[in-house]
Amino acid sequence: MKDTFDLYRFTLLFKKTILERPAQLLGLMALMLLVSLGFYSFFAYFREWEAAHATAFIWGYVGGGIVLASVIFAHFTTNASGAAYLMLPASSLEKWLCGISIVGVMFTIIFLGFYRLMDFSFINLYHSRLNKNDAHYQFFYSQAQIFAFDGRLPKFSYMLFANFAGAALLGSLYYNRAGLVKTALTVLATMAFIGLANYLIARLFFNNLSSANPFWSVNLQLTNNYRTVDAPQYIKDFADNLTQFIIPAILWVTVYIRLREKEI
Amino acid sequence: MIEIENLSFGYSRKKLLYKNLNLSLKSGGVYGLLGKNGAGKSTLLKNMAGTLFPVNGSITINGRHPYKRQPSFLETIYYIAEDVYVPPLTIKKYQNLFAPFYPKFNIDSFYQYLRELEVDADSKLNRLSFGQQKKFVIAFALACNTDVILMDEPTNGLDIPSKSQFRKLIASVMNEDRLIMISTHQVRDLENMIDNIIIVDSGNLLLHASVGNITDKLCFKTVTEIPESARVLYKERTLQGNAVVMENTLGEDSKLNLEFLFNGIVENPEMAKQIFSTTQTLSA
Repeated sequence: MKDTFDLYRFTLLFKKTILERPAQLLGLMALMLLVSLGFYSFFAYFREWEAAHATAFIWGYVGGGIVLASVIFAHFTTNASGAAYLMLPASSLEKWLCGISIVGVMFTIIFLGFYRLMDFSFINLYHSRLNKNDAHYQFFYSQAQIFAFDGRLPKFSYMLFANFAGAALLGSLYYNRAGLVKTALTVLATMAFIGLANYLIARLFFNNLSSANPFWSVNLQLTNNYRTVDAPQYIKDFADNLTQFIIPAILWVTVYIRLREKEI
Repeated sequence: MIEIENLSFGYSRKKLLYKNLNLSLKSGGVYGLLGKNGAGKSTLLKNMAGTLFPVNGSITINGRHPYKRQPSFLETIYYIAEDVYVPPLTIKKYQNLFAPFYPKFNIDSFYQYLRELEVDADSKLNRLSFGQQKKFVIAFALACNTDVILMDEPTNGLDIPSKSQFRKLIASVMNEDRLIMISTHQVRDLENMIDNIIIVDSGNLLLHASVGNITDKLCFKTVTEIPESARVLYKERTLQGNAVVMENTLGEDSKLNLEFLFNGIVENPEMAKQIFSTTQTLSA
């Protein structure tokens, strides 16, 4: 059991991982928070609250998570650093847990905490500066509300994060150099292949096919009119489960398997 | 103890570098792994360290399989790669973060080794020269007190005084429970330090013998004329005459010349095999 997981050793590993490359990990997290703040400030300046919320959340959380995921296991750019990492006396499970804890848990908590604080500060400032005697006070006041973390956009972002950060983690273990770029190209190629295969299959069934969205719908052109044929609900539910749970689980678990089998 | 049984390894399954390699290394020895560039020395060390996995066969170190990379095994082995990795930390911080992973780490020895190798203990690692970084890694590895230390070209980048200091350090840390394997293509760096020699070339094990066995079987000397009947493994014309490595049929005492031995074994593997065949397993 001690060769699989040991809490003391895991604590040492966690501390070592954070403090070994503080500029890379903590600096990167700080940079992502600043990017989020930048987007938020820009749109908040023009009182575009919806855009401020969306861009700051997606770029900060999803974008930041992907970049962070691509560096957490990036020890394999040189033989020496890769060997030093693999030979460090900690189990593959501990190394994997450490990586996913930093990317999936620590970064998420820090980002959501920062985002809430930033959102709260901006909106409070905005509300406090409104003229209460203005006839449109209520209207302006209701324009800016605290961003809920359980809305459609955050849920969509969590799904994107789980998938793309998982792909970035895995990519960093397959591609020793320029991992993020190569992973992005692999993901794009995979998505293009799925889209093309789906389109070609749909063409077998529909003569007047305009476009096809995998697992979702096909768009048909009938002379000058367009019609959409939705996939059955169970297919949509399957697709939701696939993107929300199954693919992320496969990606994140494969990271562990790859870490165990990594050679350098 | 390191046991290698029928090891086959290749970066491609179709083109194996090592085929059915057998080797047994006992604790208490300093092994010199010699070979030309690209001979397969680093590959063999990586298989022993568990950063590469055998295609067939097995490697066990003190009864453990390196490829499993279990923490209790990794605590007992230290592998120094040819190039050096050091994080941007001070030596003190590095020791604080990394030493706790090694239960037998000795902090006093660590700073003593650093002093002996003339590495400033207050330095920031990424600001040290390559040679200084290498010396730091060697000092840390030795201070971990692991049972097995695998070093890939440890003297690359070291200046002449440091190479000498390195040899002294290795001699001072040896004990009967420890096994140190040093790979190099700079054979002179290992002179007077190793007690067993392994020579590999293109994935073949050409020689595995103790220094005592080698000097029993071979004679290293300079002669004006080479006896006609002698089996000469290697000869080189020098100012004093012909430096030769030949079969030691008369039981003469001579001092091992690693460079000549290496050249002789690599140039005449068949003759070497015949000379050593009475006591050693030579073929890969």
